[in-house]
Order: sequence, then C-alpha cells, then structure tokens
Amino acid sequence: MEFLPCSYFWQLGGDTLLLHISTMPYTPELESYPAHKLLQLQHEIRWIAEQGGTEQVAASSSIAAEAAATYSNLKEISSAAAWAVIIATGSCCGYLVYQRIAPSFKARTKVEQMIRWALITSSSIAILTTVGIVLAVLYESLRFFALVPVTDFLFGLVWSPQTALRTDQVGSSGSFGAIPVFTGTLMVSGIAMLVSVPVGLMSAIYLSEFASYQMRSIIKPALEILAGIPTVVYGFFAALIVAPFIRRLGEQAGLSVSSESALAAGLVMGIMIIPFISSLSDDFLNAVPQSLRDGAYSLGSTQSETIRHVLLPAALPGIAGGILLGLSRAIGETMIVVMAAGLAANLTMNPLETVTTVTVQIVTLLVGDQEFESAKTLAAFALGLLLFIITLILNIIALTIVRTYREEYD
Amino acid sequence: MKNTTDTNSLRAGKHTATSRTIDKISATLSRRHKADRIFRMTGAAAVGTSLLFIALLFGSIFYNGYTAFFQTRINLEIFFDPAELTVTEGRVSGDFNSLVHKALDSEFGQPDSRDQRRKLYGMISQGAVYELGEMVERDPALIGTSKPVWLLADDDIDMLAKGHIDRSLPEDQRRIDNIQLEWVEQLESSGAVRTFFNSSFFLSADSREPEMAGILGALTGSLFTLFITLTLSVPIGVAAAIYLEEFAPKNRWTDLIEVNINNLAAVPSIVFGLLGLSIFLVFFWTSPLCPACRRHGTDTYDVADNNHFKPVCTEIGTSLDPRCSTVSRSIGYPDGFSSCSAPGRSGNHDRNNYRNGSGTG
Repeated sequence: MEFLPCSYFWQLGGDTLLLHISTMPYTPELESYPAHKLLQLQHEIRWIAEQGGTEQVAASSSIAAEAAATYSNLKEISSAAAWAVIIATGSCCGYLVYQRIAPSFKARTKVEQMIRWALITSSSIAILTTVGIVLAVLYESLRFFALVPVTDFLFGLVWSPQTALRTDQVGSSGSFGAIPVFTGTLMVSGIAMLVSVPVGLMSAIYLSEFASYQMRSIIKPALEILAGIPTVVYGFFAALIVAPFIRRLGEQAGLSVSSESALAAGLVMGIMIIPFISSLSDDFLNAVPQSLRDGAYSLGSTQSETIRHVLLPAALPGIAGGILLGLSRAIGETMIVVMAAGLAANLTMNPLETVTTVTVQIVTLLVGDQEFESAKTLAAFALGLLLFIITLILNIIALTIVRTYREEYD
Repeated sequence: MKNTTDTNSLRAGKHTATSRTIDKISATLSRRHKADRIFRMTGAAAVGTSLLFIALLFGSIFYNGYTAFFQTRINLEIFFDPAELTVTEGRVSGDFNSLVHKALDSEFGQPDSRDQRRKLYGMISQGAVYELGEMVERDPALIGTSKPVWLLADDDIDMLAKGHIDRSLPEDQRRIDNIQLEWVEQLESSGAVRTFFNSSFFLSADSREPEMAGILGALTGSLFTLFITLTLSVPIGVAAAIYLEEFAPKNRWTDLIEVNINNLAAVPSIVFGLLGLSIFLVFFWTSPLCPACRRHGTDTYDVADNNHFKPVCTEIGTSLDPRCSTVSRSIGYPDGFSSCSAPGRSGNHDRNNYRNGSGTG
C-alpha cells in the first residue's frame, strides 16, 4: 500500500514526458500546428490510449493513432520500470536495516526519537499551512497586481469584475476597486455585531451572575446549539425566512427594502455569533476572583452595580478579545452571505439595500467557468489575501489579549 | 445579595452620627434597586431572545421542510398489457409510459386536445414509470393482469395535495390548471390520492424531477469528505497536542506554533478554499481531460449535451471538438488555466475541473 502513492507520482510526472516522446516522430508535420491544436492532439492521444484502440481510433487521425500506440507502449514500460525501482528501493532498505541489527543497537531510544520527530512534524504542520496559505494566495495576488495596480484595487470605488474574454469585446476592462466590497462586509458584520454583542454579553452576565445552577445547566448548552448549526442552515434561514419577513415589514412601513438586504444577512449572522460572544464572556466573568465580588458587596453595592462597576471592567479585556474573535468570524463568514446577501457592489450606507461582501465576491469569481490568467479570476485571490490579512490582524490582537488576560488571575 | 443593604440600614440605626449618609443612601436605594431589577430583566430578556432565535430557527426550518419527508401518490388501475411489454432474459422492456397513459385515459376519458392530454399525463411523475418497470421485473407474472398501483405524482400535484398551492387563486396565478385541479379533486374524493413516507428522499441522488430527488449523492459526498478530514486531522491534531503539552520546551518556537494553531482555527474557511484551489492547480496541472469531459467522451456524446456544452466552451473561446477537450486559449499564455464544465451542471462540481495548459503547451 505504501508504494501506491509513489507509483502514482511517478506516473503523474512521467506521463507528460511520455506524451512528448510519443509525438516526437511526427515533429516536421506538427511544427505547423498552432499551440492549441497540439494540446488537442495530446488529449486525443491520451484518449485513444485509454480507450484501448477501438472504433475511436478509426475515426481519429493516423498521427494520433500511431502516437497513441507508442504512448501506450511507453506507458507500459514506464510502469514496469516504476515497479522495478520500487522493489529495488525496498530490498535495499531491507538490507540496510538487516545490517544494523546488533545487540548494541538501542532500538528504544531510536523509536523514542522517531516518535518525537513525528510529533514535532505534526505540530509544525500548522505553521506549514499558514505559510502555504500566504504563499499560494500571495502568488496569485501578485499575478493579479501585475494586471491591476495595487492602488486601483485598494482605493477604487467601483467593483465590476465582469471582464470580457476577448480584448475586442465591449467592456473588456473591468474595474477592481475593493472599497465597495469591503464596506459591504463591514456593514453586514457591523449589523451582526450590533445584534450579537448586546444579546451575547447580557446572556453571559445573566447566566453567570443571576441564573440558578439548574437554569444555567439547561440554557448554556441550549445556547451552544447555535454554535453547532452549520452556517448553510443559517443561510437558508436568512434567505427564505428573515429576508422576506424584513421586506414585508419594510413595505408596510412604506420603505423599499431589497430582498437581499444587508439587514437580513447581518441579523442572522448576529444570531450565529451570539454563542461565541456569550461563552467567551461567560468564561471571563467566571474567571474574575470571588474576592472582587465580595469586596464590592461589602461596600454596599447592589448586584447590578457590582457587575457594571467591578466585574465588567475586570473582565473587559477578555470580553473585548472575544468580541474581536466574533468580528473576525463575521468578516470571514461565507455561506450566510452567499445565500442572503447580494452580488451587486453598492457603495451605500443603507442597510436596507443590497450589498455584497468579500466572501461572496470570492465565491462568485471562482464558481463556474473561468480562465486562470484573467484579472477577473485572480481578483478572488487578491480579495482572499486582503481578507486573510484583516482576519489575521484581528485574530492576533484578540488572541494576545485573551492569552495574557487568562493568565492574569491564574 | 439584598442582605448587604439590609445590614447597612441596621447598622445605620445604631450609629446616629452617620445618619446623614444613611439618609442619602436610603433616598437612592429604591432607585438603585429598580436599576438592579431592570438590569436583571435585561439579562433575562437577552437569554430569552437567544432562546427565541433558536426556537424560530428550528421551528421555521422544520415547518418549511417537513413535508419533504412525504410524497404524494395516486392510485390507478394499471393493466400490464402483454402487447406493450416483452420479457427477454429476465429483463422487461416496453412502453411503460403508455400503460400509465391508458390508465389515466380509462379513469378520466382521453381528452381530445393534445394540450389537455399533456396535462393529464403530466400528473404522474416519470419516476412512476421506472417503478412500474421494477415491479414487473420482480414479478413478470404481472404481465397480462390488472392491478391498482400507487403511482408517484408529479411535483406540482404533490405540492397541491400537501396544501402548498392555494386552490382559491385564479387559474393564471396557480401552477395547476383548473382542469388538473378538477381531476385531482375527483381522485381525492375517491381516496386515490395519499401521501406516503418519502423513502426516495434518502435513497436516491439528485434529479431534475423534484419528486424523485434525494440526498443520497450529497450525503455520500459529505461522508467521504468527513472521512478524509478525520483521517487527516485526528492523528495530526492529537500528535500536535501531545507534543505541545508533554514534550515541547517553552520557547519562542512553541509559542509561535501555538499562536499559529489558534489563528488557523479562526481563519475564514474560504481562505482555506483558496489554498485548496491553488494546491489543486499546482499538483494536477497535467490532468488530461477535465474529469467531466472525460465522462462525456465521444461515445456518450449526443446532441442534447452539445447544447449545454456550447455556451461553456465558446465562452472560454475554444470550443474545439465535441469531447470538450476544451483547450483554452490559455495555451497561448504560458501560465494560463482553464476549465470546462459538465453539461447541465454548475456549482461546486465545476470546481474540480480546473486544469492548466502550461505544462503541456
């Protein structure tokens, strides 16, 4: 089993080479072919070889048929060679291992060492992933910034990525100003925070300070259900239930409400974030030492005064960290806004209008058919890079606050 | 914690010297207690709001979705006409459609106009035909006999029977014509319309016919993804945790790892999606035909597919041959990528089909 991926990569790399060799004998004729025809021919050769030469062969050109025969032949040799190499390597290793077996050989220490290295590798994968994200997104973004200047992207006020595919088409230059997209994201996450911060924080205060033990043991898990619901369900809720409701409400009040309003998406996203805020705030309120509470009570403060003047200031940094984490989640939230927010990039401050968000734009740019050298598709990576940077900064600030604060009362 | 204020006032009685302060406190006490109550109620209201949201979410989704677990069937007397059906080597072939049509004709009398016939026959789902086929295959002795069968209804009839279509609406605002409504009501009065548990919802994959669609395909995909995710993340995650807790020295490097792990947990999933896409592009650049095209190779290619193909391929600007070995014009550009999509499909599916022309160009 262990050899399978090995031979797979062998074929993956070797395949193209074999294909090139197969087409070589016909070079003089092929030189007149345009590039796309060549690639088509290669696909055809591969196709015929896979079919094993049935009626397709007759239909195709003789060049392709002949090349396909060479190709399958070479492929067979290649896979035989792959097995030979695998077996040779295996037996070599076996021999080396056999040589090293001796009474003085400290197998236990070696195993310990190996396990240690395996563990170190596993823990370093996190760093590798981060580096991978940065490199991958940065690479594609740099290609994007070669097509569209950075300043146009960062400070442009118009977002319309629909570029034509051929330069002779009308409207062949899209405009890639990220500001309307980011204001949309900020508006939706702002609404979400307006919903989730008061509700989440007050719930946490009530549950940690007022509620009886039994009540707390029922309500806390119930609230945490909200955190476990897949976001696509929230999106469904937003698009099919909340948005039409808000629209009807607005119509009765004589307002024109878009059916994909920022309000609906933000509201539902706020519901999604409530448990993040409430459970983190709850943790930090509980972490405040009892002595501070007792001190406040002994000075004659009521319970609400104790909470407002003693507990909240003491827990504030932690709560702020929790809120920032919630905000970063709101900014990066995808499914709810894909389903409930719009596609049009309006630069507006009206929450009843349609706005679009960074995540929605990334999804729209990458779903469906696209070519990977156009600014339209690469723009998704530039947006992704910006999104990554923003959430990274928010996360680092929040995590630092939370970490240092957690240790304070320990 | 009302006790504290009580003791305050008790103490105030003993020490008359502080009575002025006590007066001040007593004067504000009711206001402070009121503020306390309001604060407490705000907290309770917040908890109530959260619970209300949960109830609303589950309630509305259940209310909107539960009828999907049922499907409507229509009871018709089907005559398994030996003239229409032939059995060869245990396989039944024949025009099951006409069996259904004849059953409908005998129930309602064949309508004169072509349009009405279409409406009448359209009341039974295409799925019913397959079910009849399976029935006869299981029991070929049915051929030549007549039997009442619960046939799967079309999705519009299904919606009507479940009460999702308002029967009092004028005809032009309804998905069901007056004549169809009349037929359905006639069937309903004779008890020939019933809802059954929708087992095909769990046992079949996507379909263009809503009444035949199911989640099995999507569920399988989710399970595969889940399986791969778990096999990757559980060992690596547990190993990392063991190392960081038990082995790692407290230094900058482990600090960095820990911050990194915490940060990764909060990175938006879409950014991971971009990483995945890049990896796909880098590692699979030699992928021959895109998977979708390979499946729709020349042997299965037909005119109907062509209609779906064309816009896609021409959009890329390189519709070359029916196989959709869509060679994007990106070959002209050293680093171009292109994709082509399966006929009539869109969405996530297409995301698997990227490939790059650079290596082979």
